[in-house]
Amino acid sequence: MNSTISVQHVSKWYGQVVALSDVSCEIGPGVTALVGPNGAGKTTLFKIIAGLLVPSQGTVRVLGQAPRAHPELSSKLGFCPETEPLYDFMTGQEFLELSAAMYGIADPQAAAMRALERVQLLSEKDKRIGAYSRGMRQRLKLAQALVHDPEILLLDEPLKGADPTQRLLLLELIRSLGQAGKTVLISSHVLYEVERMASQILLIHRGRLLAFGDVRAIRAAMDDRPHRVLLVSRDPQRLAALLTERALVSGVTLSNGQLIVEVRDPAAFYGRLPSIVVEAGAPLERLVSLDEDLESVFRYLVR
Amino acid sequence: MTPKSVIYDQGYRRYEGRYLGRGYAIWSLFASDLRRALGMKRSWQYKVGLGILTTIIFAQALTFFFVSTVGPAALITPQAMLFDGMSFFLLILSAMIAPDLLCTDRRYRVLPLYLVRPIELYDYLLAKQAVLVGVVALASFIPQLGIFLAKALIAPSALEYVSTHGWMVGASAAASLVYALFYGAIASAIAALTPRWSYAAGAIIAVPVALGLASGIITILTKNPWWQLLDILSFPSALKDALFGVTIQATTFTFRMGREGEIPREVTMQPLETWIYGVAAGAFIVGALGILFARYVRARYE
Repeated sequence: MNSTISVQHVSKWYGQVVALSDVSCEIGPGVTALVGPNGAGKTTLFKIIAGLLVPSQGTVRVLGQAPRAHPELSSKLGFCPETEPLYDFMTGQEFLELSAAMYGIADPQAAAMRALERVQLLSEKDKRIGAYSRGMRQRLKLAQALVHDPEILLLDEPLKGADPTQRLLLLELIRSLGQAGKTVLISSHVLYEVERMASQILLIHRGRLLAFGDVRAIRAAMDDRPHRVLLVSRDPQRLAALLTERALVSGVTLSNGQLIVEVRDPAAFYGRLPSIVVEAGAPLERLVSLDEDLESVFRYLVR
Repeated sequence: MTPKSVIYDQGYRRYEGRYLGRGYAIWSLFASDLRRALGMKRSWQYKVGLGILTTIIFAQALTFFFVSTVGPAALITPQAMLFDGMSFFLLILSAMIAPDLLCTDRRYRVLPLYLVRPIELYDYLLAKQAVLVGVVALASFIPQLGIFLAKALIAPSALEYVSTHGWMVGASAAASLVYALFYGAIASAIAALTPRWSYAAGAIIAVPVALGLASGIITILTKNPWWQLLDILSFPSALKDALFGVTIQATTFTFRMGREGEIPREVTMQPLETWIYGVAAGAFIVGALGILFARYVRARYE
């Protein structure tokens, strides 16, 4: 992977409070989600990458350069903070024109219109921001990060406050930015949405990096937690007996005709399952992996 | 004919223009803040306040012009006296603009957004300071220039008036800059300490006025002329007098002491040397800008 953001052994502390502790990761193009409970250190990491904070220890490189030492780098970086940094007295268009001009765009008006169009706020461009709804403010906040077409986008909780329709629009937009080759680092509390748009996750808790990479790969690497698989068959007892006999499962639960098994070695389990099903003489009607989603990974790691 | 339709997939449209540099970003911030300071897109209260201040300043200029034209010869340099008349209104103007430029940004938490643009913290503060100093200096200088031009026009020989009194334009410009720099520094330092517009505006007016009163009382009671330096508003005034060649006279205070007011007292205060005011003003400006910068170094991490 060609990394655009490189974080090496970064720690940040405020007096006795440790906000980040020895975090290292390499982030490349595509959408990467920064996941963690409140106070995990997500915003601190965003601010360090954006050059707004200096790490107490460690280094950050954005496109190979230290963000704070190279102000020109900021034209390649878009930052959407968690707070709502918007002037109530300006219109959406005025705010974006100022943002574009501050990024050094030669035609701020055209850039502002493009960004407004992208977040579908064109019809509201002349309205004062003070009259915008929460969701519209979120979209405008995202637009100011996009207005100069940066290579890297740091989006801290960009979906907060958006209604379901706007969430869909923003999810689609963020996904399309990732597909266009942008490096998008996004934080969100809504895990199923994160899973829909991000190709990899960065799980952080109490300032420490707990996991980084593809959700399924992380799940597979969690040896201490057996995988839970739901099997629906016409003869679940027979199937359970065979799976236990062959030592492919470490636990079995049977209720309402549904068989839930705990698997320690998914590769061996899935490899031998077809022959066991044939042997049981009862075809499988359903097979669902119950804890390979981000929520389960999150639950297991942040405990 | 068969209707035909085509969907052209434009894909992701990249920005292919140039990214202009830091100078352009600072200029954009300056231009935007200048519009704000001049009341564009601001509340009607701000516009009315600005209108009243401008009217008072220009009315004073008009009054000084007429008095100096038809009145006694004492007003031979009406510009120097006009500064004394309008200085308090220039302070009020600073108290309107500085909190609007600084407190508003912190209240709306836009500082991090500015600082992820290609500017540094000192660029941001430079742009804000340039707007504040620029507007106050112009509000001070334009009426002065108006008086000069009007007097030149009514003089028997405009050319002769310009050649003999032309130095006043330079003195007015320099004095305007001194006032603007000084008031700008006070206003910015105080505005940096709170995100509330009203607190900052009130303090910008109240602190120098209170110091002035305290200075007067302590100086009279102690008879120590150095306490005059507590009156920070006298710094630019003393420098302005020096620029116009006006000599500051000793001030005599007469008052009565005792329960029945039976003990007459007279205290004469000798003015300090101009260079002392110059040093004090310079130190004050540096100190105030130091407070401003230190406060923003902390604010960027909030």
